[in-house]
Amino acid sequence: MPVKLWQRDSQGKYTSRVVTVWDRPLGGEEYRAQAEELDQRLDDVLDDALARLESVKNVDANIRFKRIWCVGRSVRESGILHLTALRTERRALLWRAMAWKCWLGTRHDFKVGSDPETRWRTLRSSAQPETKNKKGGVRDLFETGFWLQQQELADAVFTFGGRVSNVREIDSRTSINSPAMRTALNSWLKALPAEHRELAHRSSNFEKIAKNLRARWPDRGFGAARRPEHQEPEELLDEVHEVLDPLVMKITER
Amino acid sequence: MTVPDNTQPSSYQSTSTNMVHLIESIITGYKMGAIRALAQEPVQNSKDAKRSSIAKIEYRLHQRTLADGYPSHMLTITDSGTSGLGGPILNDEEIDKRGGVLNPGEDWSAFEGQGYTKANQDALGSRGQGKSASLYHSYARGTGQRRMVMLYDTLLPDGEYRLGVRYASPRDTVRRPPYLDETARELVSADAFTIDEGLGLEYLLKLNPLTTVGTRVIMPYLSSEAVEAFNNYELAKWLQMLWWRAIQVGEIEISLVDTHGASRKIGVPKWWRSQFWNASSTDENQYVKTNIYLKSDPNLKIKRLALQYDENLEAHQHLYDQSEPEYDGIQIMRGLQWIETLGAKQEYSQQVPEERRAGFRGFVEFERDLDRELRSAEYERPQHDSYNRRKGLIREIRDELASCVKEFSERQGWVDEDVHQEDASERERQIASRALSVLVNPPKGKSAGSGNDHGGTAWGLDIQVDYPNPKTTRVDWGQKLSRIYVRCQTEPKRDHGSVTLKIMSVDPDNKRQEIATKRAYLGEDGAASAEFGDLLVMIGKSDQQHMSCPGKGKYRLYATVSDAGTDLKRASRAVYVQEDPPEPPDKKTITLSVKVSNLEDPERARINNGERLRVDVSVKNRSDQDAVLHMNASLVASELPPNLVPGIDAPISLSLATKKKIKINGIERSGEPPVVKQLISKPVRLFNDIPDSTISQAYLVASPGTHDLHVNIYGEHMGEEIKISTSRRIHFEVDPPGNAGKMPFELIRQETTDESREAAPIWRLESPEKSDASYPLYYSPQHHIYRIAERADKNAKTLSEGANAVIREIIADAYLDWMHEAHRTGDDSRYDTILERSDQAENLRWRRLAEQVEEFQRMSDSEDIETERLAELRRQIVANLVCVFEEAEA
Repeated sequence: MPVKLWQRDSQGKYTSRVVTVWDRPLGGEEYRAQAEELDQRLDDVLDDALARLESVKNVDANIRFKRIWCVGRSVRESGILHLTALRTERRALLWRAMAWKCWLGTRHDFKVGSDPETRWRTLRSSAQPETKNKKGGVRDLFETGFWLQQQELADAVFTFGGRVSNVREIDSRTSINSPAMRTALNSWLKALPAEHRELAHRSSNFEKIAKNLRARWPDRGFGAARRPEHQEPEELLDEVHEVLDPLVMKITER
Repeated sequence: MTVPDNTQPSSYQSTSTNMVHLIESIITGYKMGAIRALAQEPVQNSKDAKRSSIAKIEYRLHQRTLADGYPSHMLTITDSGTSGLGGPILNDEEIDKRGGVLNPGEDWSAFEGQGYTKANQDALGSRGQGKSASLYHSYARGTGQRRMVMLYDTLLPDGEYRLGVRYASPRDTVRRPPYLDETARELVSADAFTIDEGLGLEYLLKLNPLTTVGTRVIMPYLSSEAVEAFNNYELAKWLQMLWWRAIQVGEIEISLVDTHGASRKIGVPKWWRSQFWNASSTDENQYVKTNIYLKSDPNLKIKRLALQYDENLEAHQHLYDQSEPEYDGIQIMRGLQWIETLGAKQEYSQQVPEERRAGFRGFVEFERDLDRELRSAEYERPQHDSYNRRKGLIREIRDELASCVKEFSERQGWVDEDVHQEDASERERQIASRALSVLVNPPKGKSAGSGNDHGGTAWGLDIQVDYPNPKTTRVDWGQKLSRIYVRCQTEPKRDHGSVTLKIMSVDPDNKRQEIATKRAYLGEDGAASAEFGDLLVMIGKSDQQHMSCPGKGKYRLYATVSDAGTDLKRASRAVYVQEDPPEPPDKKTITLSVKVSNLEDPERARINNGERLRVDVSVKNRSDQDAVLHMNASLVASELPPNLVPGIDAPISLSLATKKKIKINGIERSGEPPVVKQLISKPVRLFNDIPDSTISQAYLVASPGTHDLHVNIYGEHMGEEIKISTSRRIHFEVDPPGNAGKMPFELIRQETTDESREAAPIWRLESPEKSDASYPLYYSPQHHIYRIAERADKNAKTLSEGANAVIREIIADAYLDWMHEAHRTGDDSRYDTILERSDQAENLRWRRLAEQVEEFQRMSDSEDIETERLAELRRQIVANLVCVFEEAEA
């Protein structure tokens, strides 16, 4: 990639450095021009996400859920992923750069005496961003949001009950995180009575839903060769019913 | 012959030295190439000449258009914070008078000289590597003969300015005295600089004169190799690898400035940036040991060894050659300069397992006395790129480091303390590798029976026979094999010419007897056929109506098609004389075979962007009942390129078959080989981005890395539930670990210090930790058979004797286990290597081997396993494999 990573030192001074996930003898600095261009584009992305978040304030969903969806959608619509700088890198660095921009409120032309853009903080959790990529393959919230926005917000809220933890249950399981499966899951939930659906959306139950789906569509071993995206939508929905109906029966019996 | 002119008095004169050859020989002496020399020598000179707290070195690339319009590049290497090239300007005679020794501070003469030593300096660094590295990369135009040019200017603390010129044409020539002060300044900045009237070279230096004390080396006519290395950052990578430690402690600063003026500083590799050795680190993945005293001399000590393991690190991409370790091991830093690396693979294979090597990094540095000692020519090569490992001091340092690495490794839980492992000796590895090659790599070129002729035509052959009893291949003496019909088919169709069709019998001991030969003409359908009538099975001699079968057992009726005396294809039918053929197996009646091959280069496992792989999937029915099953197959990308959204921009997987119905017949009569049906035979292209044009072939977009092909077969057959699953790992734009992808095993010698384990079996095959790695095949050199064989090595006359013979036996035995391991899960892909190979082989040993392998499979899958027969078969297969290895060696 190279991305421009804003930071603030112990004296409170704002600095930036250009980083890349690939090891370069000159550091990421050799790509500063591209990183600056990206940094400027990210200002627009974050402003757009803010406006988008404002426009969905009446949607009944957790604020974390809405903001990651909004940021993801703004990234997608901005087209920044097609910049040359981002073609060969991992997205994790982009998310880190965005998180730091939100945290510090630094626009691309930020100078001493400038006012930080404090409104961007509402796009990210209140914790200071990580300085390194998370270990153990935990995805950044923005990555989850980028995945989440593949559905329209209303559909996404309906599928996941407006809960980020439910989103992660499906997103982290690669064999069941295709749009085809999400559509099927959405249809299955629609067929449930409202009170059953509410029970299904509880985190502990949604985890079971994800696990049962993954057992049916594993990512290795027997069954791995047939992916949800290769099935006809009706057939897939039938199988989702087959897998989840008994489970929801069990949940509602308790 | 020229007659000497005796009228002139003779005198002794310096002979002409071919400087070009000398420089080429110096630079080619660098183990890791000329770019390393360019990154190493000038910086080393500047660092040695440092007079302030930090020496700054700038590599700057300039673009020039010469008077004739020819574009050229020039490299300048400028230092500051150094003393400049001072001292008197001595000529050769003056230096000779001093016995070739220069005094400290006589830097100008030292730089211009070749092979002289300073009074306070050891022999290293005086062969003129610095200027050789600069001259080497200059290709002066004209004449067709290699010529090299360099200039160097220096500003001294007293304000004196010097500009020197040196060229090799090929004679070594230096301008003496150099240009001085204002003349030097004017020439450096002039539009045109005539290097030497006689040389016919004029160059546009157009440089600003130096304004701070220091030295600048100017390399006009820069070689394209050096320009490319500058622009593609190879030079920067070498600079980092060599000098990161000196940069980290603030001794030097190196920057590169490109032709647009963009300046970049060389940094420290990210894994060493934290300098964890300066803090009391509690990270178990980091290891620091300081002040390690050498036993041989307590005045000498290793200052610091730092090791770390980071699972997130990618395997180091070598700049020069895989065999020469760079970051991938312990970097030896002498005088803050990287000299060489003790490789994780080459030096610490016992302590650092293969799968950990990518994330393993280390460096060692020495206290002043040991550092100085190591700098001497006794230990270090003049090229400063390696040490003489035969020297006791070096051996001692290596031993100390090895024990530290062992401690680190044990702490990490990588090695068992009681077990001593190492890669097999090179000779044993070669023996194993050659043996496995016979099985894994099909023979190159066209071999008899391969089914392909020199014209690229593929030949198919079929032999049809009516048995006396249509349900079995059993034939008793006096019974007939009727209506024998042989048909060959060509693809692409060849509709002219004739071929020879032949039938013969092969007895249980592989002895052949020819029965009949017929000439047949290829028709419009590309086929030729012949009827051979009936054959009476009897004890007597074979002829056109009789097949001689003097004893009971399994015979074969063989057919061949040949053209111009060359066998093109063979086919056969089993004939069980006076006995019933074995019953089909009860278990594993249906098996799967999957093969993924690189269509661009069959011997390369790695698939590069845009290349095609071929997926072949077949199913085998060994029962006598037809089967109806279903299949799913897909190629799944573990990750899409970062700019693509899975399922929206591009699919994450490619379906090759979804619930595909498969009908496969059972064998017609007992004793016949399994029925094989090809299910998928499809090329697939891999891309790392959405391809620009429409691709008619199947393709998958994926990020560089490993991706998987999954194949599942399911259904019910003979009352048994069939659920077969197999997968293959695809390496897209990355290489498989170690020799995986080429060889199934990695041979590892394993000794144990635990006495109770000495009676362990001679070999042991384990499943690899990662699915795409080779299987570790451990053998014990403590086993008595191996020990005896090793002793016999002293008298061995051929490669087949001694411990080599044991290694071959182990390979053969383990190969059978390896094949059978997959068969247990219904995957016959490994067994098929033997069967395919036997189809291509000329001698009947392979056919026999294939039959034995098939029988071994069948027997092991039968309800009532005949243990003794199975063990005997195993021994026969192993013996045959060893013969195959030996024949290949011969």
